[in-house]
Amino acid sequence: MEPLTAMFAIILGGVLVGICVHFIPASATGAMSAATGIATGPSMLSAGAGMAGILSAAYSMDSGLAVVLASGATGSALMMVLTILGGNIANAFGTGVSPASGQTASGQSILGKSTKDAITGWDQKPYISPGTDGHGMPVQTHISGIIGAFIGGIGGALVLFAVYTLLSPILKPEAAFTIAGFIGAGVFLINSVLPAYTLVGKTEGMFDQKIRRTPKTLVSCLIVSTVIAVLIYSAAVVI
Amino acid sequence: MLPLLGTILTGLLAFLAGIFEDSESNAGSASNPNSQVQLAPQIGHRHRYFNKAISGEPPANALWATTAATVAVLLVAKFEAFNPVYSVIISSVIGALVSTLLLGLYGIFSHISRVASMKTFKQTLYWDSLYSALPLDLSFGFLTALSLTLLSFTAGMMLNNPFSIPLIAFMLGITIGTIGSSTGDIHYGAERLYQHHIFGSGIPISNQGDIDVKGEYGYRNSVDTPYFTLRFGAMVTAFVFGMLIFLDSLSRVFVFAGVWSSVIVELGMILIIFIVTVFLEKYTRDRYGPFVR
Amino acid sequence: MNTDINKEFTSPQLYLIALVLGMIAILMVKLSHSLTPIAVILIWPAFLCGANAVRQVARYGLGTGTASIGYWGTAVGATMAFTSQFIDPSYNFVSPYFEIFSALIVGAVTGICAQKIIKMKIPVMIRDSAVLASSTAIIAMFFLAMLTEYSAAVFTLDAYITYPLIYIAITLAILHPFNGSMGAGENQKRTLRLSALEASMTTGLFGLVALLFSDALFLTGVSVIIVSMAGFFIFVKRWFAAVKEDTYEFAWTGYPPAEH
Repeated sequence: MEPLTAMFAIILGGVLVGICVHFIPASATGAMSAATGIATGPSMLSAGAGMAGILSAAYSMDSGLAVVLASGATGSALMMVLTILGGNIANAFGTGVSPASGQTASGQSILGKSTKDAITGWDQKPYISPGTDGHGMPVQTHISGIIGAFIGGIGGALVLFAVYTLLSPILKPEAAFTIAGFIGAGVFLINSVLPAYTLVGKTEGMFDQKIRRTPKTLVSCLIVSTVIAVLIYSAAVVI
Repeated sequence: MLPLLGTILTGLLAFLAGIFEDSESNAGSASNPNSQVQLAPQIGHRHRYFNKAISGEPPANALWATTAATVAVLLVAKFEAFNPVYSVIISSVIGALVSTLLLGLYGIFSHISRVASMKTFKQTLYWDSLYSALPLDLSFGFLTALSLTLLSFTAGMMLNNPFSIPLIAFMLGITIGTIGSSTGDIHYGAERLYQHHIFGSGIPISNQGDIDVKGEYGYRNSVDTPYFTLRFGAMVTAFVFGMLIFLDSLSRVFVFAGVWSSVIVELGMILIIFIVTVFLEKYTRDRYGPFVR
Repeated sequence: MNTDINKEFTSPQLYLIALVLGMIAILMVKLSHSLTPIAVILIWPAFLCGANAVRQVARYGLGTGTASIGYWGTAVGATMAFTSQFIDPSYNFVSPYFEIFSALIVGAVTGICAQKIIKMKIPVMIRDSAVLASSTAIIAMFFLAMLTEYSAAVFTLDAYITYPLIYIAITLAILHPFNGSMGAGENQKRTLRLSALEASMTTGLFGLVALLFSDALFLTGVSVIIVSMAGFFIFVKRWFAAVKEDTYEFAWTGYPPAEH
């Protein structure tokens, strides 16, 4: 990969990371079984999924770009799907509630006024506890989480590969791997907090009304990633 | 042979790390359920819990793991001449001791400064509620840092991860914090803190803050929490984190399709786990039925 | 450290002190390693400036939590600081100014995006994002300069194993003072004293790391640990004096008063 392509790859990776936060369902009050979504804040959850993806992508760094991207995506998705299973088990047998989506039950999902789950057609309204906003992870949020983890894993692995290409001519291999891994993690952490400002603490994934705010996130992450990529490029190649 | 042995070892260490991490976050009330412990004095329930509000779980666990791993790596470079395996174990223990010291200091300062900001709600600072829970918290923290450091050493040396060992520990720390916060904290936040509310319902917004202040006999302390959540919440966290590390390393043992074999095996695993989750949802909907008032 | 004044410090005041003293500290350490114990005292104001910036932004109730602001700000500062390690040695005069200035730019750009595009309506967003990113870059540059010697025979690139620790230790030291004191009775005096306490803890930790890092840094490490422990005990007394004024009541044990 030439250096200039690597710079554009860093920008693309940053934007993908910003988008993935909108797809991954998360809410802080989920820990009290009072909201649908994984029971953590959106920015920290995406950071966790991204780190799992970058760790998984690192093993295949010398096999080419396509394998690195695929490994990152499947690593993040594996973490997401296991976390969702664990969250549903904890809700089902620890608190005694079944997964139900609060937004869909009140008819405010992005697909219209129906109170049924978008993918399986199961009715959500009779199953939520009164006074809460849903609990657990029904199937529509589950699919949204897997898609989000794929996008985030690809973004993180792309930044990792691009920075590694920029650094391998000037540093010895172990140093290049570690510094590239850390800068990949850093770009991930910077870009996962900007969407959290728009989401204000909770989201239900791609069937939530808040998905309409994605263009704002896209523009902000684009600007911030461009500035960072230009600075990294100038530090590595120009100076 | 070596990658398979490394896979088994990392799976075992990851399972243990999950148990200890969740118990540590419950021995001192941390992250999302801590908002309930923080809210309780505001509605009149003065309590005797250890209000350990350091930060969310991912950055905190990343700090304990990275400190232990960095000190361990620097010590291994000095002790390597004696014996490679023993030097790794002893350096990990010393590194985990340093990170436990940091955990203790941060925990004490957060409890004191949070209670000091509650003057208007008349919450008293009970010294024994801090000092009884602290040794339990420090022990679980030490075990978490130790297992995560040994896990990073195994991933770096036996499975040939190209990153340096403190960076692997940093990423594993963030991941285990995220998983512990998403799965184990539900058992603490929705069940243990609200035992006088019915089983089978989430906690409505109007009831939040109405936590248990009394225990089986007398007033409840943070020492009373881990023995309860260990039986379920810690096991779920351990299951998720252990399976993640084990399955991820296991997929690399296969070589039937060249470099793409691990990707294909992981996609198969994702599909199987997705189907299991859908079956679980159907089972709970059929068995529990709609909410009965 | 004149915290007996009753009015609050503003972000630009603290940033100016942190910038000037921080740059002097970095240049002192680059010049000669025997000046490190004095330089450590000069870097503590940068921690106070960062913790104050987190406090100003988080007070408006962002919904995303104090921890996210803390580790976002440190990610900007630390990533910019680590880019200094792959600058060609013939251009060494450019650092630390390049990194600190670029962190300021990236922080300001993020603040502008948050304010104008996402429309967060927090008045101090742009100023405090820039101040936060830049003060963490100053601290990260100081720790890098302390561990990698330009004047002795230690390879500068082996310091890469300490990068994750530099990042996460600064993150916790910057975000914890406000997050730990959050509540109705929080005030700047107590938060800043807690931040000074945690600054000395962090520099003590890095003194230990320097001690183990190489034999040439042994005396530097020991002196940094001694200075940090002295600072720790002084700040604990002052912080606890502020706590005693603010707490409702102390008791060794007892039952909470019955309700209703």
